[in-house]
Amino acid sequence: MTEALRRFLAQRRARLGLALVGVLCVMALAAPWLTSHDPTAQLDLVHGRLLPPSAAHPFGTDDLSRDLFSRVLYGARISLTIAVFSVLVSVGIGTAVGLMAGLAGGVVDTLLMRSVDAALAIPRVFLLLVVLALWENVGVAGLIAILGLTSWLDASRIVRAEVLSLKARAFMAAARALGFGSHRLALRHLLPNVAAPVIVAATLGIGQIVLVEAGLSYLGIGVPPPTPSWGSIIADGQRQLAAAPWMATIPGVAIAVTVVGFSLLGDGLRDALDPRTR
Amino acid sequence: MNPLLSVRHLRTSFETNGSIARAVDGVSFDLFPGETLGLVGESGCGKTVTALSILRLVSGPTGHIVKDSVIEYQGTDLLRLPPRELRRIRGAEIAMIFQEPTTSLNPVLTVGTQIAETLRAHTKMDRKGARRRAIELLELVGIPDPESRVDDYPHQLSGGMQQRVMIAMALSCDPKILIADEPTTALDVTIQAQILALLAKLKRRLGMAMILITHDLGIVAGLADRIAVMYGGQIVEQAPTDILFQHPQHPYTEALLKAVPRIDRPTTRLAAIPGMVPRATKWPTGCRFHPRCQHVWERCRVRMPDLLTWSPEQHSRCWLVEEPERRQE
Amino acid sequence: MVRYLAVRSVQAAAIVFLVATLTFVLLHLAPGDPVIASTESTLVRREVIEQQRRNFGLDRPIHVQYLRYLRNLSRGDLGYSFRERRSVWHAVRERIPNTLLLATAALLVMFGLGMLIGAVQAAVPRSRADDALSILTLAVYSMPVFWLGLMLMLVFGLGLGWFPVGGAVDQVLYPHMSLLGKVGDRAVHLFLPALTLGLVGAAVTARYQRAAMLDVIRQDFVRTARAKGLSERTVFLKHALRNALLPIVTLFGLTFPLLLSGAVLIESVFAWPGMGKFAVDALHGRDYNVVTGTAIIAAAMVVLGNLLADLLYRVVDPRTRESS
Repeated sequence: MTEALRRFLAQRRARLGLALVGVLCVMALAAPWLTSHDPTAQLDLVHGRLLPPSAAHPFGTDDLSRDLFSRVLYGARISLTIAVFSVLVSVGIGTAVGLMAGLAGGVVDTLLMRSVDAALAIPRVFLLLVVLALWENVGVAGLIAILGLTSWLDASRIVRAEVLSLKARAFMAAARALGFGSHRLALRHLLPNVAAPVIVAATLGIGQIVLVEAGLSYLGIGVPPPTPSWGSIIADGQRQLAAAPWMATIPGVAIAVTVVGFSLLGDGLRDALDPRTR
Repeated sequence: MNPLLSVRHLRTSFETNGSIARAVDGVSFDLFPGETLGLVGESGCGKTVTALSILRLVSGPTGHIVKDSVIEYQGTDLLRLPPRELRRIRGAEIAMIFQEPTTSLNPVLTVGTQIAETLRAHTKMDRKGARRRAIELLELVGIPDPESRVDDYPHQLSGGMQQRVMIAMALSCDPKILIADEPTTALDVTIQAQILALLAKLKRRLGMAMILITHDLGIVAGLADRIAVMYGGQIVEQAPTDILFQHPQHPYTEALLKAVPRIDRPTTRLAAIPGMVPRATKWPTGCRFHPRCQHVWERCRVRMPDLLTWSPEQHSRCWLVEEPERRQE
Repeated sequence: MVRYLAVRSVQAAAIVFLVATLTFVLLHLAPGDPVIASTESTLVRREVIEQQRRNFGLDRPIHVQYLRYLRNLSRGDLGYSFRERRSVWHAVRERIPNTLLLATAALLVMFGLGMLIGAVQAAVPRSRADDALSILTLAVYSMPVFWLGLMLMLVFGLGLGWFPVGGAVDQVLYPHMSLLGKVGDRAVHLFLPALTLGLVGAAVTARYQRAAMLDVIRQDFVRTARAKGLSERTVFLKHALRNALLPIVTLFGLTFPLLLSGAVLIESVFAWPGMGKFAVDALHGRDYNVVTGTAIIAAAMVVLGNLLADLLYRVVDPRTRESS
């Protein structure tokens, strides 16, 4: 493990990714101490609308005179929370399905993987539109569930591929020869080996979910207002694009920085955990 | 007679992870018209890099040929030729075939296209003419049914047939020199013999000169007029083939010869050369062979011998030339 | 070849069938009733709703509904759009060309620009230009596509006034334009949305292309090509690029879902009248059949796109063709 850590820290890009993600997490956690404004409070509808960035409002205010700095900070909380928990859900399901398909093989494998193929054929945003059309106003928890339930497909494929390649190796045959049942096999021998690619996929997945969630919130079907989310702030900003261009610009930068951070972190982890891919 | 190709103190280095590998370190030899020169040595001794250096194919950010090297072809130094002029030599005057026919042919182009494009790069031939010539060449190298094989992709041919295609491609513009880098190493034993016989036949018929690179002395025995043995990025012995086989002077050549299985003497087992091929990033001091040499004495460890003259035809990079009494039987 | 096509077509049909089944399952797992939901805003009497349910067969057992749904689907019947008051297929059909136009233009940007950038990077690996382009592609790849669209709109539409900020044509003047004027009007309206969608794809393509080229350049046959006396240009363009095309074609197949997902967002940003924006509007208007219908059509497009990529792969890689 220390060897992997050393390999990880040896990469400049990985260190940058870790720093970006670290700073974001700290800012999200420390939001109440970094700003004194309530992200949903309308401060002064007469004189405080669409103010440009200033000392009092580093990112300016929006059309409802809410402080954008606090909205972006609290938006980070929402976006990161949704992304992290959705990825946990999706990785859990994906690992379970992948293990099942890979270990069972035969009909079970074919059926599961063909279904995954089919689901992957539906462009993700369309799939989410269908689900969100049917379940309305799901709230943050519901959104986590929906994003998690629609994002495990890739993870299941990764795990299945890893299981198949591990199955072909000698130590699995040895374990089977010793008479271990298949559940025990899965948990004792496969999980540790499957962990590395799953951790990498999860890290990269967080960035992707941040993008997807922002897209849904932008379309007005993600995080319900007035809860601040980066995507919905951009949507608000689009309506004021000419009058207050910073409104749409700043949250987008925040999203891009987040995704870059998790990408670099994920790539760094891959190189550190699996030297074969170098 | 003037040499066709004359290589003088060729040095080629590679830079990897901060350390410099002097893969070829001061190689000089001549190649005369119509002659076959065998370049022999274990892998890692620099023979392939020497061959690649002749056509300046040592590429990439890591490898480069050191400034004062000279590679003179018919009076012009190839190392100082502008790229455009160099391309006129490559493939047309000096052609090359490689060790792995499977990876040396482009998988997405037909063999006909690959032969024809060489012709079209160097002659004024039109598309149709080049194709006709490609078919003739395939016939020349003994590929059955060349009319239809010309439209095959490399993967549709066997390894031996692929190497024949490589030979056809190399011969397409009647080169004066053919450099064959381990042309049979990747092939089955029976196919090896066929390819070698083909090379011998074509060389006789076309009268070109050839540099045959191999790690196997058995292969050059029947083909080469002269042999240069390489070790540690240098030529350690040079002599006409029969002299080299009968009276090897350098201990390394001796060791190589002992490693060749022969039918005319009852060998109990092959004599492997003890020790390891040294690394190009860290050549031994003095004579580069001294750590593995059975005759070694103090002088060998300290000073590197030049290529010393044993007879007008035979040269050996060994102090034994000056102190033959030290040879231990 | 015919056999291969037949097998692949059956597979494609099977996937569309599975997609349809999945949609049906989702539809019936969901709480609420599509008819009630789509009429609740218009204060309809209970008898009318019951009549509607009977009309659409929603009072029948679920397996009957499923079979009926599949039968309708096989005839191209995606259901009825309550908002448009006509069949979903007819309503979507008008929007498909716009989405295809946007997607095709985006594909051109994506592969044209992406392969160019990747090839340039591979030509001078680890140089300053390579590093700069790597950072740029990572940044673009990490941007939300709708936000990138807004930024381009802000600069080139609102700021510089070079391009219109929305719609597929000029609402007022278009009917009065000459043929050439109409083509020009469509082109300027297409530019920003297609560029946005294409740029994100181009960033992905460039990263693939760079890796693929660097991989190919190290191969033996590139050395052979040089040894034959071919010019660097021929070596790079004919031998290296041609082989680097193989992973790019694979990417082409993987691209369609991403492209269509991006189209949903981009169409909403630029008020582009395609099927993605139609689906989002339908969702806000609770026109469920339209949402599910467009999803099935999008899936069918993806399946067709994959089929196309497979065929293309067989064109560029002779090793995958059957040998005679």
